[in-house]
Order: sequence, then structure tokens, then C-alpha cells
Amino acid sequence: MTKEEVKHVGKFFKKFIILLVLLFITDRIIGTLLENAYKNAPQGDIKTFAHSITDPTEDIFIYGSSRAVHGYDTRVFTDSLNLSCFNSGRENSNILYHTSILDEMLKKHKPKVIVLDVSARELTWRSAENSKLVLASMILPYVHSDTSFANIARQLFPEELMKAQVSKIYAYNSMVLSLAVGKRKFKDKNLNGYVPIHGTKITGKIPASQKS
Amino acid sequence: MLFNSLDFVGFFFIVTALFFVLPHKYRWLLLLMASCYFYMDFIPIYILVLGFTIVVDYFAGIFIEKSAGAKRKWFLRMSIAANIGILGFFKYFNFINDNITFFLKLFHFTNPITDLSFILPIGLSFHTFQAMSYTIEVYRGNQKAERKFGIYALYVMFYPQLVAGPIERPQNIIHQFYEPKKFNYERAVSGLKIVLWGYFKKLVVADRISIYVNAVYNNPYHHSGKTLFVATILFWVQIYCDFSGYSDIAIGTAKVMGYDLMQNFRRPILGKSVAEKWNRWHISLYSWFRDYVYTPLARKARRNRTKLLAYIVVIFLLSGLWHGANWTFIIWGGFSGLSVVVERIYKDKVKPQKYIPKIWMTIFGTIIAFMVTALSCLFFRALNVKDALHIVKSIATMKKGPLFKGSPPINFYYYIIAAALLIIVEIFQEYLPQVKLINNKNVVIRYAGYIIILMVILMIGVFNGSQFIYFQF
Repeated sequence: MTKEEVKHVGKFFKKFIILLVLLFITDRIIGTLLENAYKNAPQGDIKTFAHSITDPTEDIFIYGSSRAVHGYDTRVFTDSLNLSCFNSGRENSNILYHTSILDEMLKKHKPKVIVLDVSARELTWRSAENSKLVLASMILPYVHSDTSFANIARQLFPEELMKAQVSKIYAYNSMVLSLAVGKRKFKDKNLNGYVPIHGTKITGKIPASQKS
Repeated sequence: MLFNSLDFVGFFFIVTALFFVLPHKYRWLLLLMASCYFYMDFIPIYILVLGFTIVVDYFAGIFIEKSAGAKRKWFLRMSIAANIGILGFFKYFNFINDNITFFLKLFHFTNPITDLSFILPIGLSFHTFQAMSYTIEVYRGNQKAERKFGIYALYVMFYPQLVAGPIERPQNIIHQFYEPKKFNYERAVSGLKIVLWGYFKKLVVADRISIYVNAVYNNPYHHSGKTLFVATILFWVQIYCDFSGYSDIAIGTAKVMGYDLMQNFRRPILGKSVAEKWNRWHISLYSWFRDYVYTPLARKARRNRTKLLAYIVVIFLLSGLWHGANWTFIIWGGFSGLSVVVERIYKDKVKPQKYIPKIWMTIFGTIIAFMVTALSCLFFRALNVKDALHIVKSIATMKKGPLFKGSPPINFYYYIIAAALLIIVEIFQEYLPQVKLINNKNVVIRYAGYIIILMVILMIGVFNGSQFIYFQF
């Protein structure tokens, strides 16, 4: 390398380090704001997850993918069995996700009934990979404070854990809008974890290959 | 190795650091070895396919240069046949065989030949076209045959553009491998800015929108006309950001090392006509077809207007076929070609510029051309022709049903934010180039720009390591 090149390299690293420092400071500031919003006003999936692992009290807990989230009405269980019920299902998840959060819940509370909804489709590699991502999105905000979640993350997605340790914002990736706007904008239709969906009637003929 | 992986970030920094530390005479070897490693990270055995075409075209170039007359043409034809043969075998064998099976079935015959079972070598269409570009240019006398095998191999394998372009021309890149490159601060920063914008396009826009598009297009029969329409429009934005994001990362990484690759996209979203949109889209491929297919045909057509217009459709049909061995791509290509031809005839006959003020021509032209190209993309994305026709019918008849199940999911707002950010930036780049963010002379604004982009990537980027769409081609 010539002297001139060394000078350019020096200038590059000097500016690069300045950028990294500014980035680190901004990341910590915004990350802390998001962390507070996450703890104070959880919404939707975050709210369900937080309740399942921090203060579970119900008699019945339901686990499963979107079929469970949108299919198991907690009010029906409570009316029929006279037992309190919470739906801990999560869209795009499979048994990998449910096992992880079920273990966490059982450390704090022993429900009378656990319903686990599993379909054959959810036992594929792809489903497990999706489930890992869903699990990562849920537990990354806890890895700094909860060692058991940190251990799960280390086993299942060490790369994600590393990213979350480097960047505080990363743990809240894709949550920023719901955390920033919160209850003011998005109406929470969550009924003890059960999320009804309306207007889903399909018109027209559906080929057999696309019928679930 | 995917550009949007941590592995690549490490790879890039190590290779770039070694590149500038090593003396100039060893740099080509470093880049070649790095490119081999980069390629073999996908499916190692396919390096042999790439190696075969490199050997064939290397010798073909020398033989073409040394020979004259019919022999010269024969060597060119042999080289092109070898390249097309490999492309045809790996990419089109099953497609042709399936069509033969379908045709025989109509007459109650069975096809004794079964489909082959293998994965398409990654980026095959890209490096095959780049290799053909070399032999054609040598044949035309625009490029000297490369005598140094390693440099020729590097021309085909240069890792930034190996698997998804830009499809380079030998005149643009080979001489650069001989030039000693020095680390230059301004150049490195300029390259990294392009890389940063490429990552923004891929992680924030393309991969974010893909969540919606995949959900809709993988189950088109479950969705209303409105949903399919929105998903189709968003797919255009997705594929643009996915591919141009890749190109930006490729161009930027090469630039850091001192190599200039050709521009591949020029804000096609703001093209004022269908033809202009295509002139701004995948420039390296369409200029390839223009230079090596359209121009020779046009010369023979001798200003025969019908023939010239027909050749435009042919070029687009070929480009459709280049994209994939599926009738959906061929229909997409045909439709795109026809839309260009119809637009040209309309402009020649009606001459709307005579009656409509320029500003309105620009606004309407941009919007209408966007709708035409975006809607044609439904053939590009649909899994098969049956699905594509269903989607066309659903959109045309506005099949009943809601846009969303219930109220819009929060993710939908991310799609809108991502697409809006992209369009705003492109409008500024196109119409107000003096307004700059990461290229601003003011250091505070510039650094604020870097941090905003990085924060947005961290906050709403999708980090699931999804493949670039054009890898499959």
C-alpha cells in the first residue's frame, strides 16, 4: 500500500468508527424507548405472549397455530366448563414455539387443562423454521433479562441472539409501529388470546389443491 | 452465499481487505478464488458446469480471433451452441419434455422420456449470457480474445455479479482487471452508500412486501379481486426492489474495490411510457437482447415497420423465456412486447403530445405505464397459467370480497410505508437531484441520513435471509 492509500484507509476507519458510535448511541436511545413501550402497553400478539409467560392465571390454556388463535373461542370454554380460559396460540407457529413457551408458563402456574392443537402440516421443516422466527420475534426482547429465554435463543437461533445483543432495536424489529401507535390507532380484538376474524367468506369455486 | 447474510458481510470485508493488501499481480487470483468460494457456497458441484463453459468460451475466443471467414463464424456458432446447449439442458429440458408429454397425451400416447431431477445451477442464465457476450464481441472485433485464462475466468465469475448480474460486456470489465487499483476513500464510501441503499430496497421493501404477496399469490382462489389487484401492484414493487437491490449491492461492492459495473436499473417506476419503463428496467439484459438479437434482425428488416414491431415482440418473448421455463413467463414476455408495440402505434397514429400538455403527459404516462407493467407481472408471479388466468378474471371482474379479513393488519401499514419511502426517494432522485440526504455536503445531514436508513432497516427490515428472486434464473 502506498502512503496515500494508508492515509485514505485511516480516514475511512476514522469516519467509520464515528458512524458506529453515533449508530450505537441512537440504537440504545430508540431501543430503550421501544423497551418501555413494550413493557407498558403491549398489544396483540405481544400482549398474549407477555401474559402467557409473566402472569398466567387461567384454568385452561390453549396452544396452537392460527387455527387455534382464530378457532378456539375462549368465551365458549368458560361458558361451557365454568373455567377461565386463555388462548396462547400464535399465527405461523408450530410445536417448537408452543413447547418453549409452555415450559416457561409451567414454571409459574399449573393450569387444569392444556389444549394443544397440532396438524400434520405443522410438522414440516419449513413450519419449524417459520416457528423459530416467530419464537425469535417474541423472546428476543426478554433475552437480556431472562436466562432461560437466552438459553433457548442460543440453542435455536444463535445468530438472532447475537444480533439482538449487538442492537437493542433489533429485538423490537417489526413491532415499532404497534408499539409507537399502540391502542390509539389499532383496535385490539383480542379476547383472552382469541382473535375472531370477520368477513372471511370465500365466494367462487376453490380447487381441491387449495382447500385446507 | 446470499448478499443479505452475515456470512457475506464477513466475506466481503475479508476479501476487500486482502485485495488492497496484496500486490496488484496477485489480485486477480484472490478475486477468482473468492468467486469460486462464493459460487460453491450454493451447490459446489455446479462449479464444473461453469468451468466447462469457461473453458469452451476461452478457447472459442482465441480460435475466433485467429481464424477468418466461414471458420470464424463456425467457432462462434460452436461456442453459442455449447452455451445454449447447457442452458437448454438444465433450464428447459423438463419444460420441453412436459409439453411433449401434454401434446402426446392429446392423442392418447405416452412419453417414454421422464423428467430430469436436479436443481438449476444458480445464476445460469446470467453467466451464460455474459459468456456469449464475450465470444460475440470477439467475433465482431470489438474485443481482443483474452489470452490469460485466469482473467477470462474472472470475467465470467467475478463474484459481485456472478449469480444475478448485471450481465457485463467484456469491453467494460476485462480491462479493469489489468488496472492497478488503489484504495480511495471517496470511492469506497460512494460504493458503500450504493450497498446501503441496496440493502434498504431488499430488506425493508422487497422482503417486507413479499410477506403479503406470497400469502395472496400462493392461495389466489381464496382472495377477492381487490386483494389480488393490490398484491399484483405490490409484487411489481417487490420484484423491482429485490432485483435492483441485488444490483446495487453488486455494483457497490465492486466499486469499493475500484471496479465499475454497468447500471442495471434507472428508476423504472418513473418511466413516462411503457417503452421507457423497459428502457430503465434490467438494462444489462435488455441491452444484451438489443445488441445481439434485435439490432442484427432490424438491419435485415431494412425499415420494414411491421417486421421491426414484430421483432420487438420476439425480443420480449425471448426475455420471458430467459426468465423461466414456464408458459407464465412466455405470456408475460409476449404481453410486455405487445404493450410496447401498441403504445408505439398509438403514439405514432394519435400523437397525444399534440393535444395534451407535457405535465399531464408525464403524470398520466407514468401512472398508466406503471399499471400496465405492474399488471403484466401477475403472469410473472403466478404459479401456473391456470392461476394467472384466475387472477386476471378476478381482477377484471373485481371478484367480490373484502380487501382484508377484518381491518387491515398492522403489517399492511409497513408495506405502505416501505413502498412510499422508496417512491419518495426515487422522485427526489429523478426530479430534484439537488436535494440530497446521504450524498449531502453537510456532514450533519449526511450522517443523519446514514443513521435514519440504518435505523429503518433495523426496525422494519426483514431478516429471514430470503433468497433474491432472480437467483432462480
